[in-house]
Amino acid sequence: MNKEQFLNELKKGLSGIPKEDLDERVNFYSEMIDDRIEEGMSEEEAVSAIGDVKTIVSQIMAETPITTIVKERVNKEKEKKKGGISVATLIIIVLTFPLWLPIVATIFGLAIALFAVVWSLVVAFYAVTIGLIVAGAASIVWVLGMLFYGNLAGAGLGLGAGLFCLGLGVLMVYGCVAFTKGAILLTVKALVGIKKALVGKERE
Amino acid sequence: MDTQMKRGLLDVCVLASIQYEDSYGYQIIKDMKPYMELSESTLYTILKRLETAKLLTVRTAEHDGRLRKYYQITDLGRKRIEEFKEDWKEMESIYQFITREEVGNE
Repeated sequence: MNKEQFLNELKKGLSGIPKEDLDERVNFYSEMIDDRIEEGMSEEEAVSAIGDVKTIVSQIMAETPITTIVKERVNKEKEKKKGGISVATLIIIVLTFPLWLPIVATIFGLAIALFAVVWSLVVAFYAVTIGLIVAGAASIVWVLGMLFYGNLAGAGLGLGAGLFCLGLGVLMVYGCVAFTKGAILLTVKALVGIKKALVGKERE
Repeated sequence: MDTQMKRGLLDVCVLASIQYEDSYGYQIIKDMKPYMELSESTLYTILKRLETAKLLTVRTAEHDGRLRKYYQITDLGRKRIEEFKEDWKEMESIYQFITREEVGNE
């Protein structure tokens, strides 16, 4: 076995330990072999003087704490996932685009429709409220007019209608506030949901 | 030999091999050869342990167109050798006690 074979075997056997540690060990053995060669040994002799590579590997693995090995394994898995979308996955995504595009478009359309419905309801609610208050204010003018002509019945009708409209309008202001809050909350939740669906759960 | 004891002994031996002069891996193995057979893997572990404990420092220097690591003892390392000598005296007196001859009946 020559030096290169020995070091390759060593690297292969120790692939479970952290990269930094591995490099340091490989350099150490490389130096040991070179120093023996420098002293006059042949490459083969120098390598065999170091000992059996399998024995060395199993000795090092036995010395390395199990937690280090597990940690390294977990890190490697993470890195694999971080590389995220592999080329194969990317090709599949691109090739199946006629399939997923309509679906995505539909979901997108539905979401926009939902927003439109919710917010137009809110706007309608405001419109009704404003209408009621304006009607209430107008009925005061009506009452004044009726009083001017001495029409008491008309004034009474105007007063009743006006108070009814104003009362309902003021009540609906509270309704508007609650409705708006609800719509904002719903929108925010929906946006967060869409973002999560698009970005994935990377932050967790 | 008790592994704990052996480990301590090996540490001091490696420190002793660099106490007068900086040295490198193969040289340390050769220096220790007359006294004990030290494998590369064992030496690596000892050097790493001593470096972590700041008993020695490592520097990389070029030698003959390649890199070689040289090990230099620190004050803390020298202190460890002195401590070992003290411990050894104590051990020696205990040894005397263990191996003493029967003095005879009183």
